[in-house]
Amino acid sequence: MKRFGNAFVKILLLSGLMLRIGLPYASAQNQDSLRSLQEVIVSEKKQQLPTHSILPEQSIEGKQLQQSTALQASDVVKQFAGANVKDYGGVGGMKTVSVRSLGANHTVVGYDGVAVSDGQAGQIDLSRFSISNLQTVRLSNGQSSELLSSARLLASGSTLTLQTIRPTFTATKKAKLALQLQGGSFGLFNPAFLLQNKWSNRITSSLSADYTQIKGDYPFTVHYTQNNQDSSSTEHRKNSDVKSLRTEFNLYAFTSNDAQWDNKLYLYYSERGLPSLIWYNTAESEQRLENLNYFLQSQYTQALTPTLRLRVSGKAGRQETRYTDPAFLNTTGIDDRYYQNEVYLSGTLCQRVLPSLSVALAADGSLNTLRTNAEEYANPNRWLSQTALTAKFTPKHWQIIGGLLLTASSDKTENGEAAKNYTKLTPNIGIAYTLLNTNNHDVRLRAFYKNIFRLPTFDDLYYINVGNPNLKPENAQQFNGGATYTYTNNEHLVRQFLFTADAYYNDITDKIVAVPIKNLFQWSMLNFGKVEITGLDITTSLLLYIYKDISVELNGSYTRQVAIDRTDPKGKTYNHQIPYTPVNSGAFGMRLQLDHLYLGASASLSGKRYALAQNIDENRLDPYTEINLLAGYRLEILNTECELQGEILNITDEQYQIVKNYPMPGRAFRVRLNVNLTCNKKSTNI
Amino acid sequence: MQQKIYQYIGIILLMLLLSGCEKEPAKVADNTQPDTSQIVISPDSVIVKGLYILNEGLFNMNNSSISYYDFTTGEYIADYFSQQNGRGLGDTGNDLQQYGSKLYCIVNVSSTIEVMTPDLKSIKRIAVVNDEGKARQPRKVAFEGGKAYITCFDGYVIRLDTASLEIDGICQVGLNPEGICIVGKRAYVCNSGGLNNPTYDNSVSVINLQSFTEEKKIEVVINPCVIVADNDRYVYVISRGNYGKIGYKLQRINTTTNEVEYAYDEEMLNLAIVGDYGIGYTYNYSNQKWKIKNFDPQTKQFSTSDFVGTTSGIQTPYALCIDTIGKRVFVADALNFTTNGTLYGFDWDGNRVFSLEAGLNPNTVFLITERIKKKE
Repeated sequence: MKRFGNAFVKILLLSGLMLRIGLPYASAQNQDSLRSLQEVIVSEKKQQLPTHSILPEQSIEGKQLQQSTALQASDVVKQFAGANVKDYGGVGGMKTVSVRSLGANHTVVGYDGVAVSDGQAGQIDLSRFSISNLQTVRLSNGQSSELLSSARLLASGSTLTLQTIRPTFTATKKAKLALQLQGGSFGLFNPAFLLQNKWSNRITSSLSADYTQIKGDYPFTVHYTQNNQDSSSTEHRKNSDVKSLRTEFNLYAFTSNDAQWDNKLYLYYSERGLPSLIWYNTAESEQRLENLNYFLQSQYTQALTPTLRLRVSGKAGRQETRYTDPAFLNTTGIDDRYYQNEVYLSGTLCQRVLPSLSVALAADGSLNTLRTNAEEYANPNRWLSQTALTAKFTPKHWQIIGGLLLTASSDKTENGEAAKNYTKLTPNIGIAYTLLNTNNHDVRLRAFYKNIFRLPTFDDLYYINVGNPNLKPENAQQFNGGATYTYTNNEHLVRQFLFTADAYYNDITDKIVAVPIKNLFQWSMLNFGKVEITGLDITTSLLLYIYKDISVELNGSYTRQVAIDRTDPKGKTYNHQIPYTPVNSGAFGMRLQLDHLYLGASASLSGKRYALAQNIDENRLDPYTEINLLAGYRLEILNTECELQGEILNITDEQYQIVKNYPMPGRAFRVRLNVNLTCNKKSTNI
Repeated sequence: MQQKIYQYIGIILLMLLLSGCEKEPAKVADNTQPDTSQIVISPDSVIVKGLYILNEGLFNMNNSSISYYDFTTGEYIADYFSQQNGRGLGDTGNDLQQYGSKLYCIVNVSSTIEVMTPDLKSIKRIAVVNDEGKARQPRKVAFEGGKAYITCFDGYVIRLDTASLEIDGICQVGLNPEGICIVGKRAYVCNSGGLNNPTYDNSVSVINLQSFTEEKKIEVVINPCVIVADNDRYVYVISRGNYGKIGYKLQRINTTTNEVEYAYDEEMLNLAIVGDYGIGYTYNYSNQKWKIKNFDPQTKQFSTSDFVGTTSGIQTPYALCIDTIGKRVFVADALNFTTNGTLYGFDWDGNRVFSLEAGLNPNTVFLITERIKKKE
C-alpha cells in the first residue's frame, strides 16, 4: 500500500497521466461527399460521446490515437477502465485483454466490422495490431449498440472494435501517402506507410504496411527473493527479439448511391523469441514462435429501402503457427505446427419499424478447422451458427436495446472423442434514461444485463494431454448499473467534462482458466468453477480551451474489481482474488496542444496481484506505476505535413512484472517521423 | 517489510512460548504432538529433530522452496532456504538427499545442484550444463563411495565428487532418466522417455560404477520412473505407462540375474522402503482416487488392507517418507497442484498424528536426525 501511495505522489508531481477515454475526436476532417455518404450507410452511429452510449463504451480515435505513445492496440486498451491486459513484456511479448475479469476468451475483436477469430486458443494477441493504420480503438462492455452488426460481434462479454483509417478525399485530391519511420531503445525499427488512392468517385483504395523489428534486450532488475530488500542484480532480456510485418490492401467501392462494398486483403507475419523466465536458468531459452495469418474479407452494405438496410460479410482465412524449442530434451526437440482455416459468412437485416423502433436480425455461419503436425491429433472441425435478434426502442428520454442470441455448435474430429453439440439461447438487455438534458448539462442513468458464454476452444478440448472433450461452455452473467454526466459549452474555457461511473456484478460458472505454467505458448487448464466479480469502473475527461490554439485534455480511469474464487468453500483459494487481477487499477492522461506543438503524458497504475490462485505472499506481484511522456511538433512545408514525435516510456524506470517472471521494460525512448504527401488531380481530369 | 519481520519474530516467539507451555506446536493443525511423546529418548540414540520439505513449486514459476519444521520447538519456516541464503532455490526442485555432512538439492529446470550445509547454507551451486552450455536438467541423486550420481533428462548420469564438488564423470543411458538406486557397485536407472511422449522409453540401465559404463538395459513396461532397493538386494521399478491404456506397473528386478523376475498386480505409483518397512501408493489422475498400502520387504507382498482411508484427509498423495526412528510415515499431499500442499504424519497403525501446511507441490520429505549422547 505504501508503494502505491508513493507512486501516486510521483504522479501528481509529474501531473502526467493520460487516459484518452472518449474525448470526442476534434474532427477537423474535410467535408466531402464521399465521407458523408459513408457515414449515412456504414454506421447509423454518429461520433458518440461515451456518456451517451446505452452500454458502457470507451474509445480513443484519430489524433489522440496517432499522437500517443501507443505502438500496439494493447497499449491503448491498457488505458481503458475495466480492461486488464496480460502482458509478457516487450514488443514481442504476448498481450491479451480480460475485460471486467471475464477472461480473455470473453472479448471479441472486430477488425473493420468482422470478428478476428482464433479457434485454437480463443484469445487474440493484441500485439499484432499496430497503431499506424488505426483510426479507432473502442471497447464496449456487453456489446456494441450498433444494430447493423454481425451476430458474432454480439456473442461475447465485451467487444473490442478496431477500425482502420478509411480514405477521405477532397474534390481536388487523388492520392495521399503517409510515411512513418520510428526508432527507439532496444533496437526498435518500425517503418510504415499508408497509400490512399481515389480511382474514381466510386472507387478508393488503401495499401498499408507496417514492419516492426526489435532486439528487445532490455535491462531489468532481478530480486532474488520475494522480499525485495534482499539481493538483486541487473540482467538483460534475452531471446526477446521480434520481427513482424503487417500489410493490407483495402478496396472500397460505392456501387450505387446507397450501397457500399469494402474488401480487405490482409497478411501478417511474425517471428519471435519466447524468453525464458527471468533468472536462475543456467541456459537461455531457445524457444521461437512464428505466425503467418492471411485472410480476405468483404463487406457489402446497402439501404434497400429508406427503412431497410442489409449487410453481408464474408471472410476466408488461414493462420499458421510454428513453435520450436530445440533445447527440449526429447530426441528431436520441439517443432509444433498448427494450421487453422476459417470460412465465415454473415448477413444482417435491419428494419426501422417506427421512428423510435428498429429491429435487426443477424445470422452468421462459420467453419473453423485446426490441423497439426502431431500424430494422433484430434483434427477438429467446428460448425458454428449464431443468430441474433435485436430490437432498439428509443421513446422520449429512453433508449432500450435488447435481444436474443441463439448459438449452435457442432464439432467433428478425425481422431478421438469430439465435444458434444451445444445449443444455447442467451438474452441481453440495455436501458438508458436521460434524467437531465439542458444546453450544457446531460445526466443519464443506464443499466444492462447480459447472459453469454464462451465455447471451449480447440486447445481446451483437444490439446494433447491437456485437452478435455467433456468441457462445458463457460457461462457468464453480467449486471451493470451506472450514471453518466456530460457538460459541454462551446464558449466556456471548459469545453467539455465527461464522467461515467458503472458498478457491476459478474458471475462466471464453469470457468476455464488458462495459466501459462509451462511456457508462453502452451497453456494449462485450471478450472476455477465459479468466480464472482464485483466491480466499479469510473472514467472522466476534461477538455479545456485556454486560448485560441491552446487546449488541454485530461483523462482518468479507475477500476476496482473484487474477482473472487467461489468454487469450493473448503478449498484453500475460496474467496481469494483470482490470478493476475488487481483489485485497484487506474490510468491517467494529459495532453496539451500549443498550436503546432503537442505534449502528452500518460500513466497506468496497478495494485498488487497474485500469480496463482492462492493469495499468499509467495504468489504476490507488487503494485506498479508506469509513466510515459511525449512531445510532438507538426508543421506543413510545401503542402506536405510533417510530424516529429519523441517519447520517453516508463520515465521512472519502474521495474515491474505483469506476468510473474516476465519483466516489463524499464525506461525507453522512441522517436517517430511522419510525412504526409498528397497528390492533386490534374486539372485536365474530368 | 521491516514491520513484517518483527511480526514474524513475534509469531516465532509466541510459538516458542506456546510450545514451551503446552508442549504443542502452534502450527500443528491436529493439536496432537506425538513426536516427543512417541520418541523414546534412550541414551545415545538418534532422534528425528525436525524435517525439511522440498516444495517443487510450479514449472516456470521459479518458486521452489525448502520448508523447515522443528519437532522439538514447533518452529516452522516456509522458505528456509531463502532465509538462509538471501535468494531462492530456482525452478522445480526435484530431489533432496544427504551424504556425509552435506545436503544435495537437485533443481530440475534451473539445471543446478545446490550443495548445502545441514542447515541449508549453500556451499556451492553447480550448473549442470553440457559442453555447448545447454541445460542437462538433473532429476534424482544417489550416492556411493564418495560420489554422487545424478540422472539428467538429456540422457546421461553424471558423477559428482562429493569432496571436490566437481563433476568427474559422465555415462550415457536411455531417454530422460528419472529414478536411480544403487545396489553394491551398480546403479539402476529408470529411462522414462517422458519427454518423448508418446514414444516412451522402456528400460532400466544397469551401470557399473567402477568403470562408470552402462552394462545392460533391462526391458520393463514403458515409462519407468521410481526405483528403490530393499535390503535383500532386490530392486523395485514402477513404470507409469502412458497414463492411458497402459497403466502403472510395479516390477521386481533380481540383481544377481539383472532380470525382471516378478510383476505385481497391485497398481502402484510410488513406493518407499526403509529396512523392514515399506509403503506405496497409487493415484489416478483422471478420477483423483488413491490407495495407500503397506509393503513387506521380507515377504515382498502388499498388505491386503489399506494403510489409511479417506478419513485421513489426504487428497493427492505426492511424496512418501518413512521414519523408522519415530515409527511414522509422512505423506505429502499436493492437493490441486496450484495451492500450498499439506504434510501428514501417521503412526504405523495408520492413525493420523500430525499435519502441517507445506509449500507448493511438496515432493520430498527429508528427516533431520540428531544423535543424543549417552550421559556418563
